[in-house]
Amino acid sequence: MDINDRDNLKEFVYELYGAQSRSWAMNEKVFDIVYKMLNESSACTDLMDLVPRPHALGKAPIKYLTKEIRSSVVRKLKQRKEYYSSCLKVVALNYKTHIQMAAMGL
Amino acid sequence: MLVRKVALSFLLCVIYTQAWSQTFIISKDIQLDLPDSAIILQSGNSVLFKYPDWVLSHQIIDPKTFYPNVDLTGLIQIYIRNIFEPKEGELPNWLQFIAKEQAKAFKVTNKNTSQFTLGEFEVYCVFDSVEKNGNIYLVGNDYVSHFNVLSDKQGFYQFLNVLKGSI
Repeated sequence: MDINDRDNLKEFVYELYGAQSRSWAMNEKVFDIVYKMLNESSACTDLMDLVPRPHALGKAPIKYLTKEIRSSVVRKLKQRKEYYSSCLKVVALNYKTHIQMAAMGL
Repeated sequence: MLVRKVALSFLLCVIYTQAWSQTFIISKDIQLDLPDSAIILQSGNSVLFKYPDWVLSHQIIDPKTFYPNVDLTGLIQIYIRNIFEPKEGELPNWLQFIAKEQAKAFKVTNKNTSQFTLGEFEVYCVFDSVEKNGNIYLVGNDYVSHFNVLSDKQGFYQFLNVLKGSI
């Protein structure tokens, strides 16, 4: 992930989890978890329409999505962060511990 | 000489064990005896204990940041109860809807939830055996405390027993 993708992802994660996420480092694992949340949430389907189907089962999204698609996903997450954080809010509680660990490199 | 060496090793072993025994104090009445953890992580208002095969995190819920752009101040206790035991009319309709969505996300059913009292707290638990993810909410008069347990079913219920025996 390049610095722009990281910044966009960080802004979205901040919107979702608040001030505690300030110390979290954005990396490929965090992207994969956010992507998993999007995939799981039935309310954010419009964003997932950007992603080519079928999904590669058992493979981390960061590995099979092209850089352009990844950048496009995180850019849209940032641009409409209120909307996407709202539609992910119930799913986000299930993944908070996962994201904390990933962001701390665990 | 050999006896002295064995005695010294035993003593060091006892000192080592005592130095690393962990008591996690949640409230004045609830003290959890946890196994030695590999890693303890502080992140925001959460404390996370990472063991080789399971993870425990704990936080005091801030009603203002539980969800983005929703302030649950004054409602957090009722809201958490409604995730597990919905009661019509206790919450505004829009919030009742979110509680229902949250119950779905936690995969709340009659079979994977339990409720009990622990001192001043009402405890609500749910375990998702597919995602190996358990949530435990301690609902008190003044605040709500939350445990998230990433573990298999056996590990989750083992931790729940530690919690039940902590008072």
